[in-house]
Amino acid sequence: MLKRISLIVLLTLTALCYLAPVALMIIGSLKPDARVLAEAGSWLAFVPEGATLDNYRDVFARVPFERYLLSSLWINAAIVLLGLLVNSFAGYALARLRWPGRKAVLAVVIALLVIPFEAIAVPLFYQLSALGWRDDHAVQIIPFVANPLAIYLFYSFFLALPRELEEAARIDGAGVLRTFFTVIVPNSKPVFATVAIVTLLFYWGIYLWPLLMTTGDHARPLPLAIAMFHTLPPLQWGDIFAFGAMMVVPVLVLFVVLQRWFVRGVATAGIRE
Amino acid sequence: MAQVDFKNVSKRFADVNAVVHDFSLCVPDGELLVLLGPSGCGKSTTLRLLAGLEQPTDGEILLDGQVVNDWSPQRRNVAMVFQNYALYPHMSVRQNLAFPLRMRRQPRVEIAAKVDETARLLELGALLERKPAQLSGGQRQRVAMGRALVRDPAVFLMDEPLSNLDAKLRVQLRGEIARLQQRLGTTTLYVTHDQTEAMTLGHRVAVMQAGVLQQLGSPQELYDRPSNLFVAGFLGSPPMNLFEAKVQRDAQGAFVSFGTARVPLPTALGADAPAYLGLRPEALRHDDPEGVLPDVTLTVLSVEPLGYEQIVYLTAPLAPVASAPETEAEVKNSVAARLPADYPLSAGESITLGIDVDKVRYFDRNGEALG
Ligand SMILES: Nc1ncnc2c1ncn2[C@@H]1O[C@H](COP(=O)(O)OP(=O)(O)O)[C@@H](O)[C@H]1O
Ligand SMILES: [Mg+2]
Repeated sequence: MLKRISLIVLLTLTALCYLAPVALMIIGSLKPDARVLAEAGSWLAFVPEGATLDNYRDVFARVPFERYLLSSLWINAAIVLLGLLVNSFAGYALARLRWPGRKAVLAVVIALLVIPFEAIAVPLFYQLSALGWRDDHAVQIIPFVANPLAIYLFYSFFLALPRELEEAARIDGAGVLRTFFTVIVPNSKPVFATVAIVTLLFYWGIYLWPLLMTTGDHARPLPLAIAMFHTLPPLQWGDIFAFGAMMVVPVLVLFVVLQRWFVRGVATAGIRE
Repeated sequence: MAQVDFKNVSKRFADVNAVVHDFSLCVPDGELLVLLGPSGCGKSTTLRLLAGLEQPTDGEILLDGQVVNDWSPQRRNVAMVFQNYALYPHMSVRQNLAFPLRMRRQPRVEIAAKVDETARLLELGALLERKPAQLSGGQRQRVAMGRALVRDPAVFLMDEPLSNLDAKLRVQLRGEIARLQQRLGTTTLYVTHDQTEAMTLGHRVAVMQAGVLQQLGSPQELYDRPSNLFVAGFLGSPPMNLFEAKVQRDAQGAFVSFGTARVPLPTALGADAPAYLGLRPEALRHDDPEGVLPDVTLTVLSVEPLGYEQIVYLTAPLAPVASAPETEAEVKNSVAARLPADYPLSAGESITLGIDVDKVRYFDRNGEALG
C-alpha cells in the first residue's frame, strides 16, 4: 500500500514537472506583458487573473502568423502523408517482396537510422543551393519524405503480420497493390498512427533546415518564425507565449485523434506473436 | 473443374536440399486426392507450388494440360483453405466471403446472391455480420471453406484444414467436406498428416516422405500393399509390424521362422530374397479352428483395450526393423496383434496365435515391397 502511494506521488510529481512549463506558457499568454515578467519566479505565475486575449491579437498584428501556420501545416501534412505512402511501400517491399539487393538495401536503411539530420544538413544545403533550389515549401518537404526510421518501423510491423493473410488475398485474386491496400493497410493501423505521430513531432519543430533554406516570410514555418519573433523588438513575453500556445495546438489535436492507435502501436511493437 | 499434373517438380529453398524432389502426380478432374505424410515432408510446399505461392526449381505444373509455372496465383483460379484459416480480420464474414468475387469484379447483385447461397450451404447465415474474432474455431473453418468455394474455383487446395479443431468437430467436418466435395465435384488436393483423415477422405492418397512421393493409390491399396517400409510403418494404428527376415530352406521350399511358426515364402517372390517381413496386427489370428495356419506362441507384454477390440503387444520373436517409425517406448521390440475384446488377457500370459500367411508382406534390402 505504502509502495503504491509513494509510486502515485512520484508519478504525479513527474507529471507536474512536464506540465508546468506548458501551463506557464498558456497562463502567461493570457496576461498583460508587464505582469508576465513581474510574476515570474513566484506562484502568481500560475494564476491566470484578469485573463485577456490581447497577446493573441498582438501576434497577428505584429507578424503574419496565419502565413507561418499555413506553411507549417502544408509542409507537415505533405511530409506525413507522402511519407506514409512511400515508407510503407518501402517497408513492405523489404519485408515481403523478393528482389535482388533486398538485403543490401535493408542494411543501408538500418545504417541510416543512426545518422542525425544535422550531420547531413550542411552538405545537403550546398547541394541544393548549387541547384538554385531554396526558399519554397517543396524544398522543406521532399528531402524528408523518405525516412529510414519510418521504413524500419513499417518493415518490422509487416514482417510480424501473418503471411497467410497476403497469400489468401493473392489467391483470392488481388494483385500486389490491391493486397497492400485492402488487406495490409487496414490491419496495420497502429504502425501508420505511430509513424504519423513520430514524423509530425519531429518536423513540426524543425528549425535548422528552414533557417538554412528560407529567406523571407514566403515559406517560413512556425519554429523559425517563433525564433525570429523572439528577437523582434519590443520583447514582449506575453506575445511570445501566445505564439507558442498557438503553435502547440495542431500537434495536440492530431495526437488526441491518433492516440488510440498510437499507444497500441508502441505497446505491441515487437511483442506481437 | 480441372485436371492437375505435376511433372518432375522439384523445389529447393536457397542452398538447402530439395524440399520437394522430382514429384510427379496426375489428379484427374473431380478427384479428392489426399497428400499424406509426417510434418515437414513437403506437403504444404507442394500445395503452395500449385497455388503459385512458390515457384518450382525444376519441372512443370499443369492445369488442364496447360503449363502454369509462370501464372500468377490470381490467374490460376485455385482456392485455398489455410491451416490457420487466414480470414481477413478487419472484414465481416459477409465481406470475407465476398472478397474473392469483388476481386474478380463481378456485379454487386451477383456477389450478394453468391454470398447468400454459400452462407446457406455452410449454414453461416446467422454469422454474416460478425468479425472473425467473434467466431469459434469451427465457425472460422467454415468461413474459410466458404471463401474458397464461393467462386467456383478450378481446384480446391486444403492445407490441414481441420488440425486446429478438437477431435469431435474434426470428425464432423471431415464428413461435411467429403459430402461437399462429392456434391460440387471440384478437383481437390487435401493435405494432412492424419492418416485417419487421409483414409476416410481420399479417393486416392499420395504418401510423401522427405519431399519424395512414396506411394499413390486408394486407401485400401495403401493399407494392403504398402510399396515400401515407410508406408508400411506409417499407415495403420498400430502400424504394420516390421522385422528383419532370415530366409531358410528345407525340403518344402523357402521359409522364414517366426518364433515356432514356419512362414513359407510365396512362390511369386521367385528368386528375390526378402530382407524384411511385415505383418499387420490383424494378420495374427486367435480364431484358427481348423489349425491350418502356422502357430506361434508368444508372451503378452501389455494390453490396450479399445472396447470393441484390444491391441495386444507381444514379445517379438525377430529383430525389429531399426528404422521403424516411433512407437511408444513400452511397446518397442514387440509385435502388436489386433484381437477381439471378448478374450481376456493380461501381461505375462502366453498365447498361441495363427499367422495369416497370405497377409504377410515382404520387402527387399532397400525397403521396397516384393511380390
Ligand atoms: N520458405 C522456406 N524457406 C526455407 N525452407 C522452407 C520454406 N518453406 C518450407 N521450408 C522447409 O521445407 C520443409 C517442408 O515444409 P512444408 O512443405 O511446410 O512441410 P509440411 O507441410 O509437410 O509439414 C520443411 O523442412 C521446412 O522447414
Ligand atoms: Mg504443412
